[in-house]
Amino acid sequence: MKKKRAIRNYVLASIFIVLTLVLTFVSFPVVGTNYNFLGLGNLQLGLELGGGVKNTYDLEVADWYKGSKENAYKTAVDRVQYLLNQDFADAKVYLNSDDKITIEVPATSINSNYVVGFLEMKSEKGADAEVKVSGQDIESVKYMLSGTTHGVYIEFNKEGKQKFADLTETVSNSSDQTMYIYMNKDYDNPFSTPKVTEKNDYGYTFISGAGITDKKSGQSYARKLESALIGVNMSTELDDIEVGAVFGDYTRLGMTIVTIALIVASIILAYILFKQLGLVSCLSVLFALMVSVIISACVDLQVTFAGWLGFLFGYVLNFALHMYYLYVIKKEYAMGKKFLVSFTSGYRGALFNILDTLLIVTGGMLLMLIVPSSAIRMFTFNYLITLAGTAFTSLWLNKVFAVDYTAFNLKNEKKVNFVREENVDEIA
Amino acid sequence: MKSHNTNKIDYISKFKYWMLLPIVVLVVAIVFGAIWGFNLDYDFRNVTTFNVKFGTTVSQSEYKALETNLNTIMKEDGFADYRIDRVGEGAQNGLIVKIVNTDNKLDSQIDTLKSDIETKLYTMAQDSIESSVVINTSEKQDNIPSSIGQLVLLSSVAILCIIAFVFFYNWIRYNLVAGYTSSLALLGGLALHTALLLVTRIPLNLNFVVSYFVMTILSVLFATIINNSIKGTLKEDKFAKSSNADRVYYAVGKTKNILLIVTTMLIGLLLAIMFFGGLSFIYTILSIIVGIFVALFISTIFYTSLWSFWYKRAKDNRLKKRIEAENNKKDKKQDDKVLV
Repeated sequence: MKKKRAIRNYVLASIFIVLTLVLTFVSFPVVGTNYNFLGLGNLQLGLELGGGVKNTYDLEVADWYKGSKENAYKTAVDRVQYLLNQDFADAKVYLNSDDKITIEVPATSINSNYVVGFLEMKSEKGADAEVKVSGQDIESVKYMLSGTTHGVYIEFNKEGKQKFADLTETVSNSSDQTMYIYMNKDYDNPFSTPKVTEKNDYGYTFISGAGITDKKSGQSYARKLESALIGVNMSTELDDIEVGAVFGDYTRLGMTIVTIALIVASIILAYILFKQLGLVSCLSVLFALMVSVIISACVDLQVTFAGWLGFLFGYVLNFALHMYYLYVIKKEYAMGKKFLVSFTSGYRGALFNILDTLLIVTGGMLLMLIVPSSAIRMFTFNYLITLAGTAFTSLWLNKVFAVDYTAFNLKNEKKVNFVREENVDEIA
Repeated sequence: MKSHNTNKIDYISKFKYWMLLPIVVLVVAIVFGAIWGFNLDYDFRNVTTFNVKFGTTVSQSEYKALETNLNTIMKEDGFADYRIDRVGEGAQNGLIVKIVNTDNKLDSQIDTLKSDIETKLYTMAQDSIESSVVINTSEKQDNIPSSIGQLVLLSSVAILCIIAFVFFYNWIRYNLVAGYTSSLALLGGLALHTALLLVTRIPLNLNFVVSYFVMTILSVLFATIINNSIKGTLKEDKFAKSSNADRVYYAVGKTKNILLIVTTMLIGLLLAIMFFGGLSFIYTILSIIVGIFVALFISTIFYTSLWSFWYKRAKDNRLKKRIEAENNKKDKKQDDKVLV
């Protein structure tokens, strides 16, 4: 009976590992949803590994901006970095000399939503029309769901309230009743052209439609408008330029080889240390690895070098915790416990150590997120992805598999590399 | 008194000698720091970059030939502080040239270099090239150095938060001495890591903070594993008459294999990947490897020694004296037997 259960557990875990391994290489649309499952081999690569595009923009500071140009540029860099971080793991933005700013993204083009710019609300079309309301008149912008309508809520400051009231009055009295909202001084393509039928003197407004179809597009729209509040405009006449991966194929190949080598090395090491029991434990380690692979695919992870390091750190930690449990069993056996008893008493001895390790490392990792570094963020994020599998297997599955092993071997210490200490008798 | 670890290295009684190593490193680092400061990499310097495009896909040997000849041109044109990295895929194959250009003094020299590359590079390398390479250079771009101040400030805040977290965790889970000793050990680790980066002159790029965090996390991890093992000795009867040092030796002996597995695997994988990237990549990996060694030293030698000195100090001193007296008595008896 015990043997049957053990075989069942090992077979189920093996099937899971093989199935997940297959999923690593395939991508498919999930039936009944808009979601595309991307296998690990098809995940989006970060800038340094997969390359992307870049463009350089001229910077212009609004007349109403209070502060130095340098401050304004720095604020623009921070804001663009924030916007990029919403979608990319390692997109870059940096200042060049001569009032220019460069953006690099791991994509085929740079979406205008990542570019900060002036906001201009006008009652008439075109570049020459008078700007009635601008970024300086806005207090805050945020996404809002009004009933079932997704939209953006704009609150004006004291001066802005009056200006917006005048603007809406003018527009509502005009023949086409259209307000023209321009961003980034792009007068050929208005950002939005809402219809205004009456004067608005509430001090706030709600914009819907204009391509806002869901929460995501609403938030994106709100972030774009909010960027206008800093008073810096970015514009360019240049087309996006392709940039190659700094690490490229060679490094990607290296990462693949090293990952496979690490897994193979850990299996060999486990076998050297604990022979058959080591191999059983590796089944649990591989189970955790595959859980992490599935989570990575489900969250559409972007592959970066630092992220890969975090992933491997998680793997090494999990492997060490698995081996730690086996060491404690070995120690218990060496001190005189019976073969079977050492497995359960070893678990009690190892449990809190494993729990402490997971808690303290995860706590430390979360605190690392204070640092505004994409490398640190990706390192931590990838480690956290491995955490679920690590916790499940190191705290429970490893023990189950190890105890299952005793169904096949109840006394042969040589098969598991256990040795009783000299002059120690078995405790009855 | 019987020791529970027969294979121990008695590093605690020789603590002051062990500490000579970090003290010497710290002194040298202070001197190096005062004279040269940190060796900052290109991320923190004024650098002009441009791409040399090949207009086609080139093989590894062709890449190498073009790189070698580009290096020759750079040297002929008088450039010393520069870096060349491979970049791009397929028709985008090319090299990215980064030149340190403080205060844009080299602007005109770089323009000359660009035209030299366009006219000379293919001719110089053509014997080794079969692909239809057409050399072009992109517009040059001046990168303003990244600000190291904010990165260092926020990293320091994060590490201080981690130290506080470790202090409270160890205090609650183990004892107060474990709390402040592990925090102190982490501070020592930070100082030693900084000193080693100064002494080894590893250039620091934007990713150098990763090495500090790896060092911190590993120190915490190793100290936790050892702490749990020490905690076991505080409860067991067989350790009732053991000194703190003996408890530590037992705990380190019990956990050393796990610590070595983690350390060896991490260093092994870092060394294996190190040569698959450019120079900046190698510098990052080197600083992480230094951090791993610091973590091992700090958690096994520094932390455990401090803990053994401070945990129930008076009681431990009394116990040590008694053990010493018993040992002397035993020695004396043995001497007597020889005389008889």
